[in-house]
Amino acid sequence: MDGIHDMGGMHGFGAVPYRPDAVGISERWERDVHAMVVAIRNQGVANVHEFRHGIERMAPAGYLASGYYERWMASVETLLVDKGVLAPGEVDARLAAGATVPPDDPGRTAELVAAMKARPRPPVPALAPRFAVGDRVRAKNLHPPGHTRTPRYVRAKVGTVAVALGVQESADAFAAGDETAYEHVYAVGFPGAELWGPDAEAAAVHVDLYERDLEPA
Amino acid sequence: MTDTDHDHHGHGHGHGHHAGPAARAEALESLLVERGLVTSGLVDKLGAAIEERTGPLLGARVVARAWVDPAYEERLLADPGPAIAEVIGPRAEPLIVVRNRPGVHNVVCCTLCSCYPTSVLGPPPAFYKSFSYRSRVVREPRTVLRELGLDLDEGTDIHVWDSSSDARYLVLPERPARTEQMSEDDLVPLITRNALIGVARVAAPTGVDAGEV
Repeated sequence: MDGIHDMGGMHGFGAVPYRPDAVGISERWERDVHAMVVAIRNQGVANVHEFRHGIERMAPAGYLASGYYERWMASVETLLVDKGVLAPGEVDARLAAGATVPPDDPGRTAELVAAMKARPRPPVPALAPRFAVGDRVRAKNLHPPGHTRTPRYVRAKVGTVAVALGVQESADAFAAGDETAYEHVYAVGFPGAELWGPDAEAAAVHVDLYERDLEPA
Repeated sequence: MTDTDHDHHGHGHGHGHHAGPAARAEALESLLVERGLVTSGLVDKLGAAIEERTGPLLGARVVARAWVDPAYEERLLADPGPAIAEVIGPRAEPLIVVRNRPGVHNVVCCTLCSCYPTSVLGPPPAFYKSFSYRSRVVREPRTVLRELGLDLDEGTDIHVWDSSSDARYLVLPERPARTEQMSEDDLVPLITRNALIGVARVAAPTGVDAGEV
């Protein structure tokens, strides 16, 4: 998806906001949202690729106006409505009604913990790789409307396979709900000048690219 | 306004200033309890486990071992997974180690979201997740590093690693001068999270025992 999230190389965002004491999670609600995402993923309700794509599907203005965990929360809501767990507008209605979280049910907590632990992890298939370290490859000029992990700044660019990353879940397919697709992934190094022109500050930028998105160059 | 990320770190927002997301998270959680997906106990339990990962930087132990043991460093660079497991146990995700050396400096990012080696470094710092870092470090790494306090000379090639798959990247920083007499355990606290991301060098220790002429 050629969305707002694909921001590698964009101009205009200004100085990097560095605070030495900043921590990843500072508010209790952020921790709770992170926990809810873990619970949802570990019960197989949604996978991490669907979750990332849920964030990507935010309207651009909302994406830019939202903090990190607000984006996580937006994605949870999008996915759970998609999957029929929540009705559209249900969170808004619950918020307006003034919600409180019911007290814990320790028996149910134990059941959920056990279910999450017991959930089988599917084996990763052994596949023959198409490319090897040192191969010159081009990132295909594809612009899928769904989830992709090929950023716009490398599309149609030529680079060299630097690291073979092995077989991984196919991000595009998993985000569309197909949890059977796996493929080889490669870290491909692109000379900075190839990406950004002659004044490039980077000698090389390496991006992990999925085999389906590569062709020999 | 430069960066519009609304990450309110370290500020008390207890009086309705940003009550929006907290109230919404509570509404969401109450619905998920009703749907049987979570309980408040489960959310607390999982949340506590997530927060515990801010503990000691496991990646620092891997680096310290590589610094004191050249044979280990060779193993680490040849096949990072098993070598990392030797020191800190197995990780679920593929881990790649990128080595800084004279003339070559590596820095890690995730332009598409904020993928980060949480299993060895804990949760990602706010700057790493910012739109500024995500958008700028792939295009102008020298300038961004200078802004973050790391000045690299023009002769140093900068390699940026955009973590767009399940693989996670760990920078192996250069060992600073005046540490030759230090033990592996003493080296670990010198190795900061920022050095393992590649936005800082590991600082040489100061003090009378440093042995500087």
